[in-house]
Amino acid sequence: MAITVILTANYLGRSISMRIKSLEDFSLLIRSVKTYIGFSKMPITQIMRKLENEQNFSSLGFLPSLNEKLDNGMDFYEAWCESLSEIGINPADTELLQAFAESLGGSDVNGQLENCDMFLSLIETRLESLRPKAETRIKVCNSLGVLLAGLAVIILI
Amino acid sequence: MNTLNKTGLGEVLTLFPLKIKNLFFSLNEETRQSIREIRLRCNKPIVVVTKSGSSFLAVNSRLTYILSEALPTVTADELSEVVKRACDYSVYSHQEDMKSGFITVKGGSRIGVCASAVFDGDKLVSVRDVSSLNIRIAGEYLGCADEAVKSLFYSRASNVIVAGPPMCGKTTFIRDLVRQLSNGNTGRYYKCVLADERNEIAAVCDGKYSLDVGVNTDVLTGYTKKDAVDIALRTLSPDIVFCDEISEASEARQIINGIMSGSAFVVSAHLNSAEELYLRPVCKLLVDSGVFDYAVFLGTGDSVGKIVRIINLKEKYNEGSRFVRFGNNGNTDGELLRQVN
Repeated sequence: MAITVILTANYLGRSISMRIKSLEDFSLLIRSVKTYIGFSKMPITQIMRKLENEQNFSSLGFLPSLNEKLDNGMDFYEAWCESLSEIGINPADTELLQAFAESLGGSDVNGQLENCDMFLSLIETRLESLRPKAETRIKVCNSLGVLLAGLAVIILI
Repeated sequence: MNTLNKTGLGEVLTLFPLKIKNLFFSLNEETRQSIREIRLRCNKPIVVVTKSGSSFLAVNSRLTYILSEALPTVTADELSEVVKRACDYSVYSHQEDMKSGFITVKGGSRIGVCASAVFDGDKLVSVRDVSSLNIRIAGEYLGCADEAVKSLFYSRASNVIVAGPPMCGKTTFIRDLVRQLSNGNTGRYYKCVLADERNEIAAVCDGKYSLDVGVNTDVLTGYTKKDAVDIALRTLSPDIVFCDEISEASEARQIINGIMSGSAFVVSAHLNSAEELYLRPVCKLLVDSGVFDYAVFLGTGDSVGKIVRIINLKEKYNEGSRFVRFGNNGNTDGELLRQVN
């Protein structure tokens, strides 16, 4: 029981870290998209196929699902939204990333680069507010977990 | 041999909304294979061009020549969806093409885009409000250049102008010609370079050629002809360079320089008749330079993709009488180049 309490507290502490990790992954993805657009004007569907094979994004299970849907002829925005819902990220982050997908490909190169910059700064702002929270929450949850576990041991004795 | 190997219709249909796609799939295979153009216009019936001319796509699995209000139409939203898909959801990657009025899609088919031009000062920066699309279906006819290969390239690589009116199969002819010359059908594997500005000859996608252009062919996609010829001559040491649709004097000059550098050139040009060869400025420049060997004319109607006439330009050039006939004023670049030589 003591172990269960510690693990639960630890999980609660880590959920925010996972959110940070997924936002960092998407930030890296947007940076790569920006590079491909700026350097080669490569169409967005080709960019996604290329990124799927890159080491940096191997943990992002979202890309294989997205590309599979694109191969099946699904519209890019629909495929992006469905793939996002499959990996189950925070609803507020989902909304932000859906807005990014909606704005992709609809303007010239300069417009696209500025658009990428805008979403990168929105993600960065979100990360800046999450990082201190994550540290505090991990500390609190771990301490609380140990305290509750100790309490449980004392009660059982 | 002149067989239809494959068409780009399959790739084109993936761009269409489901409703229209299903109408095309309901047509029988033979009709589908015969489609050369599809014209989508906002709130108008869908026009399908086959060998027999223009007809309309009807709901009952057939094409009809009878215009009626019951015919399916395309909405403005559906048109813009087709454009979005044709651009691979990336307008930025096709912006220059759109400004030139076309998008080339996977499989080599070309979509002519009719829209309103957007200017910044006097510079065309973009297009908006797409009102109609003309989709020309690419076709790969293996063997359509057999006659040209036998008569013009067996002994040596000739400099050839492939001419004809729009829709006579010039691009298809050039594709088969480069395939055969590159594959060694003359007994020699010519090193071929294809200047494919609009990506409709080889239809390169992700670095792979969607259409067969031979084993010994290098494709320069998206470059202007001038740049492509320059790169080809400097770095690719080609035996033959292929250029589609020559339209500007600067391109013609670059090609003439290329021939003088030791490579052979096959170029195509829009021409309605042999006489126009000496009247259209860009072609006149090529002919007057005296470096082209033959002009090959392709037919229309039942003779699409077939050679209807071959003119020996060298012979005519040596006769020297055409200057009188066609009123050459002696000031063209071709004349200057000849004087230099």
